[in-house]
Amino acid sequence: MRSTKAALRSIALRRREGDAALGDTAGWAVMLSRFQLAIVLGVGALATAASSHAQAPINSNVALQPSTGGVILRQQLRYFEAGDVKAFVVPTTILYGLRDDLTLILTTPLVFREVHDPMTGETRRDSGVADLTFLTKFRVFRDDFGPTETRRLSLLGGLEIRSGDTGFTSDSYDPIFGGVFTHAQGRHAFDADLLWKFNTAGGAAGADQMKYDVAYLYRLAPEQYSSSKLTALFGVLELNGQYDMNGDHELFVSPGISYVTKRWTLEGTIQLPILQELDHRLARDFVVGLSFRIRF
Amino acid sequence: MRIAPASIAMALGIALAACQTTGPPPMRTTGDVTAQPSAAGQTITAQGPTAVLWVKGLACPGCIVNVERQLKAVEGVEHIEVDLGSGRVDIALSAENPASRQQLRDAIDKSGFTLDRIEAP
Repeated sequence: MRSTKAALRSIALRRREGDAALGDTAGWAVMLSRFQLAIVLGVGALATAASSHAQAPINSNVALQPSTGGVILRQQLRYFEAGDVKAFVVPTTILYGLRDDLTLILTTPLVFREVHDPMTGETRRDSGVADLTFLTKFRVFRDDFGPTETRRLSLLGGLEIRSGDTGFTSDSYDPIFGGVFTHAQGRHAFDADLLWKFNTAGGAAGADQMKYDVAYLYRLAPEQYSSSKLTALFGVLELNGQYDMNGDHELFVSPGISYVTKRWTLEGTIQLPILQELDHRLARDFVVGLSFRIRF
Repeated sequence: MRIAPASIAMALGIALAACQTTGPPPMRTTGDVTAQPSAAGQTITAQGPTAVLWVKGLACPGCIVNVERQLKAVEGVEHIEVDLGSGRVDIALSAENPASRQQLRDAIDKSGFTLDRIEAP
């Protein structure tokens, strides 16, 4: 984190000194967004795109899917601070069940950010559309071994698509591949996923990314489902990590809570860093997330 | 703010496909499910025959939507009651045109869960 903040100060300083490369309207804030914030947001999209079923972790993926023709809409509000940068990210995700074992997933993240320049005291605010994520989820294994018990394995594949919004996009089309495993038994559920993004942007900031998540859900209530108890409250604990091939490594611990009804889910989480070895992108101090999912 | 046309086209395409889908078309019924009273304690009431499906893998309340969506699309299914804890799905069927076992089996397949058995004597 220290090295990133030092880099930001250096950028600001160079701007004040009239560095030709940074002295135009594109400036340090745009440079920041193109090479650092865009990557941070890419992580957010990866983390949330496919995780939109009912009993699902909040920041990780799940191997459950909507039924044939089923639609799930998920609206998130995520806030994070990273040094002098504060941002609201508002990803909207729509899932469509093409078949019971094949789901199409599209995520479009809006970004509202505020960047403070400690050298000038100036604060800039802007907003835009970060890169879209299109994923397909294909179930390759299913073992329903009890009324509420299941084990499933799904493959994920898709593309991070440039939004074209200058300052918010990586300006590249990046393939994504991976898999997710879910085990639900009684009041417990366990999810694990591994995703790889081939970053076609090039350069040190455009390194390939490996994202990994592990999540545990415990049904706090009810102790036992019935025909009259069709809502549930889950406690969630996740580890959300990302390793970039340029050496950057970041790991969050993410406690959360999720209230699930038949039609909708409301959930909240806070992500706290427990490992940050970052030289090429911003280190987030924390992330707070709220999410609402509705099933059609 | 400039947005790539390809991105917009893809977003609209997905949204349109999702909105246009209202479930599979009703299947022709064969009426081979016979009458069975509802289980005690169930709120299901019906003039016609009933059936009980035992479904596995319903991991959460949201899974019920998947099952109900597919069963409601079957012609001859009039009412559905799910007991999530036991995986029991009580169905009231049309007296004139009850759904067949195969239709019910197909509906559970499309919902993404495992049908253990159908009780419809």
